[in-house]
Amino acid sequence: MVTRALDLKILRSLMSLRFQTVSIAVLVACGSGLLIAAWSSYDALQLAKLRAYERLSFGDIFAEVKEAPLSLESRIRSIPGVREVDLRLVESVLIRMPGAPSAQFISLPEPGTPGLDRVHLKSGSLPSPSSVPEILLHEGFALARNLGPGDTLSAIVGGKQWLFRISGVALSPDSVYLIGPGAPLPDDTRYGMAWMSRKELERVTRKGRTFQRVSLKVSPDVSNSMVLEDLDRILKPYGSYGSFLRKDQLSNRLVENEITEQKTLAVLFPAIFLGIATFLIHNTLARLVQLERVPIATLRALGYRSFDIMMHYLKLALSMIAVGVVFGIALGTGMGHLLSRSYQAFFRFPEIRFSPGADAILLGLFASLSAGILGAGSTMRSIRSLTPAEALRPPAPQRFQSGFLDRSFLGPRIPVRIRMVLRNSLSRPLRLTWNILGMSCAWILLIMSWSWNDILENLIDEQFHRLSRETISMSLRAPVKDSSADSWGKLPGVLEHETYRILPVRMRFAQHSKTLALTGVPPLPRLELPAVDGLALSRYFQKAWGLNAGDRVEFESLEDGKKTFSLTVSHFIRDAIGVSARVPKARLHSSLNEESSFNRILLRVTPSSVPDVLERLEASPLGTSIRTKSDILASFARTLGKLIRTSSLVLVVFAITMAIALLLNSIRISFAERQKEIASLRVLGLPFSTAFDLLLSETAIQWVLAAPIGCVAGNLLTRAALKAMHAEEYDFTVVISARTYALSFIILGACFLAGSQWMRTICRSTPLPDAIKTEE
Amino acid sequence: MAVSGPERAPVFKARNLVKTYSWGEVTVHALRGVDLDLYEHEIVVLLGPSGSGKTTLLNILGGLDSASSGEVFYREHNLVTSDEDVLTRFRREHVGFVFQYYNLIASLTALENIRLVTEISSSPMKPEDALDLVGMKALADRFPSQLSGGEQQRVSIARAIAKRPDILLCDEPTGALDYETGRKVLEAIQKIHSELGTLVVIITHNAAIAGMADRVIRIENGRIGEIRIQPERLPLDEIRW
Ligand SMILES: Nc1ncnc2c1ncn2[C@@H]1O[C@H](COP(=O)(O)OP(=O)(O)OP(=O)(O)O)[C@@H](O)[C@H]1O
Ligand SMILES: [Mg+2]
Repeated sequence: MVTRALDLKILRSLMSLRFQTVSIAVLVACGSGLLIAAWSSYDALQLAKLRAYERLSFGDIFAEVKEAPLSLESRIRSIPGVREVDLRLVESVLIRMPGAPSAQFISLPEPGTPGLDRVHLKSGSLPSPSSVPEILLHEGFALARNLGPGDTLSAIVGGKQWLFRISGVALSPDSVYLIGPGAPLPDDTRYGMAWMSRKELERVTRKGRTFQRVSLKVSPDVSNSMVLEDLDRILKPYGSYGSFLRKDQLSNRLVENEITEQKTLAVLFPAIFLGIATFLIHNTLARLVQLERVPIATLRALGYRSFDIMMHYLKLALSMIAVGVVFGIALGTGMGHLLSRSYQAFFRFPEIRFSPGADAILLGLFASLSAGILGAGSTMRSIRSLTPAEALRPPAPQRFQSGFLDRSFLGPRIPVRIRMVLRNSLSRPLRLTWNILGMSCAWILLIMSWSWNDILENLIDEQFHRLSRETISMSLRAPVKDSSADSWGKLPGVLEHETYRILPVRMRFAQHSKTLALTGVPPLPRLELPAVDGLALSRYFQKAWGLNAGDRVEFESLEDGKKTFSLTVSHFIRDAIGVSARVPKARLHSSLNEESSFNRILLRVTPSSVPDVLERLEASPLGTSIRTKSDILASFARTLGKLIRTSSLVLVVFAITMAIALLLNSIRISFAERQKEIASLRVLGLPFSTAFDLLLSETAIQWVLAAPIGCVAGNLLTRAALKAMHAEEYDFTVVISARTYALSFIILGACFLAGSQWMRTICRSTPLPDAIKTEE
Repeated sequence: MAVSGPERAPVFKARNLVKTYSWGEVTVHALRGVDLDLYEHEIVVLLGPSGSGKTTLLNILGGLDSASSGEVFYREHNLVTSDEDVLTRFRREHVGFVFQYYNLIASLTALENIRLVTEISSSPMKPEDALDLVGMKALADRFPSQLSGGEQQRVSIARAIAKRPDILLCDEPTGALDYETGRKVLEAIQKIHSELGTLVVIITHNAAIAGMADRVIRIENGRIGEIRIQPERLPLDEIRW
């Protein structure tokens, strides 16, 4: 049946329902926009990763070794399944720059061989032989330190200071996400990477024809574990730190984590927005059909099938959605661009090319349309069950019954006006619940978005103030006797010092194994907490490895000597970032059969003497990395802090938009329903404001009931979202501050006041006779 | 006791009352200059074709709507120049309304609908008595959805008169009712009139109902047409339609 006249009516309905249309469209735009942005940056990251790994021949299997001769190459090459081998010389160096950053210098493949994990030149040229050794500098460090081709930098290599000239800026597939050893977070100003020709690197390090890093390409049809085993066996005599697969390569693992997180984001937040859009569509349509029951019945009586009428309302819902999707595509494209640009600061890919793909857009469209259909669903049923005869009868008053309140002892005492409010609220419990749930979504989203700031602040407080109290920390090249700590402890301005023994280990339990730093903690530590009385591991291992207190864990030292020992887990600790293993220092010494020694010293220093102390520490040939806590804090604020703050801000803006749309819409609809009653009360002589407030209190009740539900659900969902996002890297405590609740309260309160004020003007400006005349 | 005439002070005095509605270019003249006096203790029936302005006039008299120009005096108060607060007080203290559709608050029982009014007026009757007057005392605890149309209308009359109003304005009170029920409603109105002496204005399309009036006023095209004075009201059981 041709329903052109009905189609015309859609346009008119959209106009007359423009407020509802706008608020639904806004939600859909936010939801589909977020979906498109997150999904296409997921795509962009994935694509950038695949391209970079492919073009730059990222290895399949890696190994690190203390020092092994290049002559092993033929043996490694003969491992069954190995197709390509690349052996690199690697040296950790301390760069002479403010803040004492450190870096890894890595040899380039021999000229003429393509090699694996190739560098991608961003600017300048490859190093060439010259009097001043030339290096390629990692893009992240170059940008952070504002260095480029032609600049020089000096670094301490092998205890000697060298001057290097930067011939070019580059990146590589194994350093996409560059993070310093033991550093909880990436910081380009503090940790870098550089490449130079093997010949030059051998010369400055005096390490000869050796290698520290192995990268392999293997044919896809061989068992990786066999290759790992063979490789380990070959490297074992040379101080192997163990071989591992690409999925355990640090940079790659962090990239993969981020990509997974992007997926979580692409689902969670759009789902909330579209869920609320569904809610609003349902409310709007239900109200509209109620209002238009006479026209609907008339159309039915005229011979339209109920299917045609259902399609009409469905089209109306979908038109509202469509308006939103159009804006959502624009919004999503814009946000996606911003998002991928912000990734470029963390991930050094040759390029991250963002383009909103057809699949992302189709997904956004599909999800939005589903929301529309879902929202319209129940209304479709009510259209079908509406018989012409019933609809054309004059409207019967809504059914009420006296409830438990009336029968209770309070009953007779409740004033009639309050009774009216209570009965209206309680008479349709399903609808009340539905409305409360809808409104609580505003709370949920607001709290979830804002809680990020709380989590961040709590993290800073916990990690940088409560658990670590030092001013400066210094790592040493090798362990030294405990007695030598005094020379640093007695420096002017040093208030307190404490020594730790850090041992790089491979930890094993059942089929699990992981390389990490085992920290030997002094008894009753004051500068770095917590204290331990036995082996304490991150909670992560409890969950991921199924460890329990009392289990025995194997350790293999990755220092010279390759000692192995085992320790009994005594308890678990929570690490906000990264994982750790702590043991009393004395216990570590006895496990290693060594004298009391340390290779990390923490100092608490009066603020005024920090520069002097730093200068003295930097002059020491023993130090490899010297960091002040203020540096760490600053770098934290620059990196993760900024990311969290920015995304939290974006989400807050979205949440506020949503809260406004949702609350105003709910208020709009409930007042449209109550307008006639307000008019009746006014006819009876109740002042407008009294009549209005009476009905306002119904919405207020819903709003107030939504608050605790929203707060609790917001809290729970924040926890769930955090859990879904990170397993190993982060274990944040979710604390939601009173400030967040208060801010949500203020914002939603303001929305409520604005919404009711606006309804007040609408109601007041409707002439009383008209209001009386309107049906229902 | 059908009394009327210039010797008594009118309750309402309308002079050159004009009401226009306009939207865009179109202007509708609902009232085109109405001069009218209504007196205490009388029953007035307004007759007239659809769209002639009856409802508009009644709404202005009851303080629900404002006139475009002209004057309406309720005793010595000029309603045209009164603001919303004054009109609200006027409605609360002096006017009872009855509409074709009963406009009861669905969430309140019959008795509570009446208490809604008695709680805010200065010298109301007891809500039960108001229900008794319209013969609805037995159904006091029913909700509107549990009452028939006529019963709902009687509750709405009880609600309108519970405050002991000076004026009872009824817009097609029997319009949605069958003959028997309609008559019960009219009986209730008449009973209230005889017990409280209220000025009653009834709009109707049913010329037969005019029999119960002291005066029958015809409205035509926004103006007062014929005014017919009926010295003897017909008892209700002689009115048939
Ligand atoms: N809110 C309004 N906007 C525009 N025009 C209106 C409005 N209310 C009434 N009118 C017009 O004013 C005129 C008088 O209307 P009114 O309702 O007073 O008529 P009525 O005599 O009560 O008719 P009926 O017997 O059908 O109820 C009509 O032409 C009507 O179209
Ligand atoms: Mg009328």
